Amino acid sequence: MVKGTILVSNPTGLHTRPAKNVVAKAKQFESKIIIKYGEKEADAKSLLKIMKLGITQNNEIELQCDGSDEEKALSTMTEFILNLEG
Amino acid sequence: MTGISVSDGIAHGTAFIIDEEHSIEDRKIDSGDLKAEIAKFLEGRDRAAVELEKLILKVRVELGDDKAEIFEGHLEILSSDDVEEGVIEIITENLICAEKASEIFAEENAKEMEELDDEYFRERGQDFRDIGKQLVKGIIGSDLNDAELPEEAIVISEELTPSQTAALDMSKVKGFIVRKGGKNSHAAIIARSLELPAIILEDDNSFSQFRPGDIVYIDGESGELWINPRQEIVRKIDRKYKSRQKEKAELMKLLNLPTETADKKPVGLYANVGGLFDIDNAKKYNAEGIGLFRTEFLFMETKSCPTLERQTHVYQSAIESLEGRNVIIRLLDTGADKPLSYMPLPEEDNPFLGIRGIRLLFQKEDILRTQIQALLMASEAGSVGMMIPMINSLKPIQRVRAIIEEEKQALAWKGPENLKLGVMIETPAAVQLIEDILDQVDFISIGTNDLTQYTLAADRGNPSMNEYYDEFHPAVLRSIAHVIKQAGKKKKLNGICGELAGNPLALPFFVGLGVDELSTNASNILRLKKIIRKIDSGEAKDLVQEILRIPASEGIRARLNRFLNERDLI
Repeated sequence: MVKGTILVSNPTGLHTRPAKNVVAKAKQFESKIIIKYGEKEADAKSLLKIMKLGITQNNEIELQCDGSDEEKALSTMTEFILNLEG
Repeated sequence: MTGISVSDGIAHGTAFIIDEEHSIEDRKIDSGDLKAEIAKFLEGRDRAAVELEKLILKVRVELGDDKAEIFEGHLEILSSDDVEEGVIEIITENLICAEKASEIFAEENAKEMEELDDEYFRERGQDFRDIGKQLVKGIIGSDLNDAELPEEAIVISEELTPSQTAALDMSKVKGFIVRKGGKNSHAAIIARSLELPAIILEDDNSFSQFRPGDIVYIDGESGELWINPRQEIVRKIDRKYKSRQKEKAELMKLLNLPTETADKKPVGLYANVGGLFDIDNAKKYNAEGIGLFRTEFLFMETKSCPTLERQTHVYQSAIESLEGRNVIIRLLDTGADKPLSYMPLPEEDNPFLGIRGIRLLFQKEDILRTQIQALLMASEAGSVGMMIPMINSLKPIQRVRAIIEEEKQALAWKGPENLKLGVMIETPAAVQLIEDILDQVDFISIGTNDLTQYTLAADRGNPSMNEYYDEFHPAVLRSIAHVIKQAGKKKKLNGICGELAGNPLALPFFVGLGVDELSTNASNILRLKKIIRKIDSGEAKDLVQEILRIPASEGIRARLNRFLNERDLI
């Protein structure tokens, strides 16, 4: 398993629209991808679970990837979340 | 039958009953039927997904991409594994029917969302309930998309949610009858902005009399309604309808004529609005500005405070649509008599004399600050007035001004100085202090409903006060005259909102005072314009002098009636 920390910096955080895009991206990987925020964590392939984390701008999250393409998943997802718009 | 009218107009059509609350029963299933129940859920879920796809297409065409994205989010969640696994788990563990399980699942998730810190996420709780309803509709199969909406429909429903309204083909809807809601419910506001009659019928017995296919006539002027009425009643309603249509067509001829007196003195006819849905109507009747943008509805639409982004968007859109005309937005004006669900307030013996308007905003300063930030950001799009409700001294004005300055500093504000500050004049204290108040503000607007109740110490919601609550009371009219005269002297924009502003009987008095603007329901504007264009401002001025000497409202009404009658204006 690999993991990394990201500061969510787009203005609205993981609101419906950006979160929807994160889910679509995460689904491209075989690895299990977990977003940890504080005490809570969620499967990055589930919009419902991500939304229940309530992540807003300037929240720090941890990304954990576990599976055959974990390295690629971590770097792609990190890049993707850092460059979210809206 | 008679209900409470919340939107004007006369219409008839075939009863179309949206009845979803009753259809969810808490049905137990046998463990042997579990497989079948799960299959029923999956089929229903798929049907709901197809319906949602149709809705997304429809919304995208009619309301734009922005609104469609809300329902795209719904679809993503509705068709996710989480929903599938979650609902199946509830069915299996509790041995209950698929529709009940879907409802439980939606409610649990909605509650979880509503516990989050961020207001945007809390608002999404309502989305989960909406998704739950869509699932239930898909499972039960009977819903408003399956039943064909009649060509001319009177929609009858417990209440109307935004997704229900979005799914209706409004070109076929002629009127609404709902059981729950008030003047500011979603159904009432939509009806007014589409100029369809709407009636609230709270009485259970009357409400349950409707059958699908009944021919229903409704009169949104009187609040009357008839189910399958006799021929003679139909003829009577039709006559009234035709004469209203004729009047309307006559009035539309005035649309592009200036609002001015017979001797060419301009009078501004502004519109009162409750949200963006009302703005089209304001423009349709050529309102010369927005004299009162009530922000309460914006705060009631959601299960938590509307976000900074949402408020900025709404205020900015209003400013942009009015293309440079005045827009006056009132800060949230609420109190213990109409609390917001997410802002419980301690009960008060006298809520109208209690924590309301700006007093409440000072207690919930984060809400006030967010609203001020949103107005500041929106003011980049153009000039906008921010109006403080419930003023009875100078201090709150100074405090609000200080907060505006603080917020500007926090934002490192470099935008244009477009935000104007004004107050509602609605307490006798504000009337007494009017000259001092005017020195501190850019504009004032008189709220006649509250000014009447506070001046006369008569609760306007109490039916036994009818005799005492009188907008034509000399004390009220003299207060109004004093305020408008002082504002005119100091050359500050002055207006009147509240019901009296839309009352034709009071119109000659206001014209005689030389008021800058009267703000009323947009659909009233042309009726008022017609009268104003036939009044001579000099004669109206003389009338004011007379009125101010009459010591009783009966005499005042009689004098105003005579003035209008002599000119054939009533």
